[in-house]
Amino acid sequence: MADQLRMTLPTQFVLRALLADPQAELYGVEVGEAAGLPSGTVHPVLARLEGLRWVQSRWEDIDPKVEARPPRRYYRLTAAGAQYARTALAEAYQSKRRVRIPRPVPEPS
Amino acid sequence: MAEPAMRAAGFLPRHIVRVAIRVVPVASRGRYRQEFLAELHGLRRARQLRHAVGVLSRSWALRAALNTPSEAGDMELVYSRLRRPKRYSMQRTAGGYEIRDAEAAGTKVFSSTSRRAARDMLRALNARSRPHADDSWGRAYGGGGAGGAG
Repeated sequence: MADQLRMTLPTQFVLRALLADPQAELYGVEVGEAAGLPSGTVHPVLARLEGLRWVQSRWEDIDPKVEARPPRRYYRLTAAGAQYARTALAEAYQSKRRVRIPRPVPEPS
Repeated sequence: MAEPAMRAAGFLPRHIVRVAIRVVPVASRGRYRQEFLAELHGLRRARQLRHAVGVLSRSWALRAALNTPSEAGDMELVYSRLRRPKRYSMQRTAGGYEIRDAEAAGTKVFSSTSRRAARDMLRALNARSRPHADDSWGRAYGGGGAGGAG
């Protein structure tokens, strides 16, 4: 399943943010702040992760009149998603290490 | 003066979010409208605006992520006009202007010393290379457009 997702840097940042506490539920702005990504960047990533069922979301259960704001959409990793995310992040880190090419040494003239 | 506990979403950020939402596939539009508008609440005015602009700038990425074809004809039109790949490209050279075919490994198809002539040719070539361009216009305006030969 991990090969269906392009592990772009924003994806890795979002997964790291969610993996910091896999049980925690965060809404879009909080995910963006935790991941250090600008507004709007996290939602496409979250939509992809949700499509892969790595992430599940739900509407906040509040009374909008009491809270004086609309309910937020909260995201959290699924149990399988947390496993996949750890593996995918480890693979991304390993592959990054593998493709690192040493800087060529200048030849003496 | 003390800040209010929960700031309501301002008019401009709400408007920007509504514009951004128009790109999102119809099936998901309601959900993301609610989600983005809810996220504006509680942010400072400047942050609301920044957030809304961020959402707008990434709305096409969100559409791609949701990966469902649009059911709205007008959105199909916007998509097809903005995302339609251009096959030919114009380059400036020492001898004037050259048009190259991107699909045929950069083969030169036209050259001219006149920028205007090259630009007109580029437009004509790119318009001709777009398949189904007429279909998308026809669909967008709700007509078949088939009875045009007069």
